[in-house]
Amino acid sequence: MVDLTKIKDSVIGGEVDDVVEMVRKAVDEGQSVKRILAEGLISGMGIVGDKYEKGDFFLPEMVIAATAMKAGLKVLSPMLKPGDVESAGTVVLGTAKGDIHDIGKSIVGTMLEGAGFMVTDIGVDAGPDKFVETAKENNADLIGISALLTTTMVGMEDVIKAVKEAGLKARVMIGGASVTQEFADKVGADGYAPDAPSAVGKAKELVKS
Amino acid sequence: MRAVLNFLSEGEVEQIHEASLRILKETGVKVCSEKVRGLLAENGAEVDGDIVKIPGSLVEEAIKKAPKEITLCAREPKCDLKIPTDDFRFLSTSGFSPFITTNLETGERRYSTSSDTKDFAIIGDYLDTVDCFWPTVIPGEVSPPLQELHSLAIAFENNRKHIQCSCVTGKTAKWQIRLAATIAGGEEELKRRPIFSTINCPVAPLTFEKDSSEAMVTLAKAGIPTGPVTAVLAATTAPATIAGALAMGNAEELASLVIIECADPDAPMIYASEVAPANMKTGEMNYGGPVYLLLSAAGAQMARFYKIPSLAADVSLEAAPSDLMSFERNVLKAAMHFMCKSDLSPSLGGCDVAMSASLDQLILDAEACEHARAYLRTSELNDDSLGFDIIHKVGPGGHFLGEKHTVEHFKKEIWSRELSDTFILDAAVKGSFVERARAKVKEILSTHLPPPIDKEVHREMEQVLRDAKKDILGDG
Repeated sequence: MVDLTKIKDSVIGGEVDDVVEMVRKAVDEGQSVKRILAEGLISGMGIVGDKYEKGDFFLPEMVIAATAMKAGLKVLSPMLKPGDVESAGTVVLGTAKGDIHDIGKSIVGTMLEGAGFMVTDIGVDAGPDKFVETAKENNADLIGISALLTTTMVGMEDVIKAVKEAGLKARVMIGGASVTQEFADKVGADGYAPDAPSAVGKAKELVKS
Repeated sequence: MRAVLNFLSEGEVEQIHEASLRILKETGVKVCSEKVRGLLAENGAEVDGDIVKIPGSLVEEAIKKAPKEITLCAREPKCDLKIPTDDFRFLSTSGFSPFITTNLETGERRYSTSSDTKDFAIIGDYLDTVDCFWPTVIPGEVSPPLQELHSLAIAFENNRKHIQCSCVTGKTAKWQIRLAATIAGGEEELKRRPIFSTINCPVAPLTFEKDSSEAMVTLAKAGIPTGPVTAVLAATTAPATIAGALAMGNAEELASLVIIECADPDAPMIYASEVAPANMKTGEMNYGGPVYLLLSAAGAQMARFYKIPSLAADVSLEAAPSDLMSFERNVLKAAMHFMCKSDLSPSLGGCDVAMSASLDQLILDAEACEHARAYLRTSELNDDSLGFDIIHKVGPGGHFLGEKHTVEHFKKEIWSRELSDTFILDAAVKGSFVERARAKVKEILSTHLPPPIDKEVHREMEQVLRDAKKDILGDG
């Protein structure tokens, strides 16, 4: 029998291959999918989050652990029944129209998934229609827009307007190098985070409120 | 890959060396002690009155004889320091001349006493940043001819690390040796494990006092490492030119080396150049400007040229930071002195051009030095660190954050601390830097007790102090 605490430790250590292998084996052995998820993957990420808060872990360790968790989840997902996963929320993530800088956005996506969000990444250079359609399809709780350039920041405002016009329940949060809290307030975003780890906290806060 | 600050090219190092040899041969040095002049004459120097001209061959011979490695031993052997050191600068407190300290509660300035010397020793013992302790302030209530001996005794009693102290007379040297021998287990054992070293300053330009030079001879014979701090001031006691000041300071250093190696061919010397610019308005030493730093870098280079361990770059921060900006200024200043690659760097805790010292300044200087160590980090250059494989794997447009290679290397390669993440100051204590440092001083003094010296040894030390008083003051 695969020891679920070993899966947890491998998530914490960011051992992607080990996590996938152990999760597969545990499933083959007939262990509860729900328990593999809760006691292996999710509890591992919980500890990673604590370690980051305490200053013991830094960004690379967070990202690699989230990657390992995501890989484990991919093995489990065909077997998960509704209700097995208590999702932290559903997020649609993309980069504003005209902006092709996707690294920051992808890191936020990985960390959100690590924290238990279901993330749909619509990629770069996305217009308001694409955000709105995808949010509708996924019944999203949250829309995240990223922009690195000051020239593409205006595209965020268009998305926010379109979301409001469409009457979606989704809250909108924005981020990226050129974005500030002042800008977020000005364009009517529901939330802003200056970096990837705080984006996770902000997302949890927005989904709850 | 490691940052080193060099001021001189290889050719310039040799030119300074040649210029120093010429000064020693043609101008010579003034040696006020007949005994020391006699010693130099026996070894081939040309003595004319009190001027001693030293031929190049004698200098070269002394350079050859000088030990290339020195272990500065400590009361507690785990605190021993081996110099030269390649990737770690050993730090010591400020010391010797300060006779003023500040009241910790009120910030008021006052004359120092034995109790202050003891407090500095205790803080120096506590701080990992302090590798070697200089008795930081003078025990002012003690009769002046006995102050250097008492400073050493207080340091030994309250600090387990190597002690470096001043010694300006032959008699003081004799008694300091006897005092240390009580701890080391006799003078032979002290020679094998010197638990203290001394600083003896020639007087610029090119003069050796009677008492100080005789002390050098006595110490050399006892195997006590000596650092002749050439306090050469460009534009007052040395030429105003950088090259001229360096050549003269180096000449004083080499003349000291000749005296020491003539006294005992195995005697260890630390190249302790302190060539500095004068403050052109007041005539004082100017620690603050860029010239001092460049001269320190040059001094350390001369020491490396001779392969003699060095004490050539003071971390003389001299100002308590009021905020993160001024703290960062101290960190950068300390970092640049570290990059001079001097084996030993003193002056933590000093202020007012080394005329006073305070306990809170010592804490803050140590804090700055811990941050400055980041600039001494080394990085390897090999196939793994060049990272072709990982660059190829990630490729254009990806990112490196979630890669094993990143996780494995970032802690060693990337400094992840903020200026506000302190090493010594307590994160929970609020207030200005100075307030936080004062809180730390109080905490250390109320909780840290360096292990006391063995009772029997303590009694012997007391006896040495009594005998020394009779001998030096002659008042029984």
